[in-house]
Amino acid sequence: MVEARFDELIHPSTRLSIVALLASADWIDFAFVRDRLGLSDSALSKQLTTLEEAGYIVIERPVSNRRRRVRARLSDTGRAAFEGHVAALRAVIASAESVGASDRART
Amino acid sequence: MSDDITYEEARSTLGSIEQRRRQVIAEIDMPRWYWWGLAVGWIVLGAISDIGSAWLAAAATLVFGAVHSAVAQRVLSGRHRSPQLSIHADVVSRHVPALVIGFLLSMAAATIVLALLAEADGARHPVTMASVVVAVAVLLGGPGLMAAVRRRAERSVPA
Repeated sequence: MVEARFDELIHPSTRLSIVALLASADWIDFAFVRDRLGLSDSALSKQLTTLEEAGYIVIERPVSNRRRRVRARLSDTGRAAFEGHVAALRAVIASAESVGASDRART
Repeated sequence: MSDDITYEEARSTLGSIEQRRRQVIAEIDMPRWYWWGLAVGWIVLGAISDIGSAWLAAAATLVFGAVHSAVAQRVLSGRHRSPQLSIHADVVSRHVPALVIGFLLSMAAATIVLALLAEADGARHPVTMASVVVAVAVLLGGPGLMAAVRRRAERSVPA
């Protein structure tokens, strides 16, 4: 059972999109995230640095075909924060729907 | 802070998260070279069976099987089509390797049946003919199978 916990660090849409992509993967290349989110290199670098400093992601720089690549993966802390945040969003929806249902029952 | 989030904002944010998950699901597949390699290998094996000796055909089948098992270990999960990401195991059905192997076994059975039919019909190279038909089926059916796996993964995303 995931504890619902709103996370202000990952709530901004760009950061949440990055974390949501990483949550479905073991790791993702920098270029893949940049292209899917339509961000510039510098904008993505800035967001990744913020997430890395918070301990939510790990940046790796493996060498492949003599080229240094940059890829990111979600840390355990980041995954827990993301799952808690999603649970918090679902709780907001569930709460609003239960209020709506009881209002309808009264009328 | 979550008290400040409205129902609409929560729904829209969850929708955006699901869209990102779908972008990763769209990458579930096997490399195109895998299906082409399989199809070419199938035809070569068929030709060797028709032209070469039984020993050569058996040896070629063993080599084909060994190469396939070495390659398949990495690609069969459907999680590594692109060199740009490795898809999380939770996103892809763990039955994908079994599905692909089942598909290949059914193709092998189809090859035998078609070759026997062609031989009964007096064809000069029955196994080669059957292999070409099955190679085309592999090229069409393999990607189709993976498309079905993606659709299934899509359905697992909460609406």
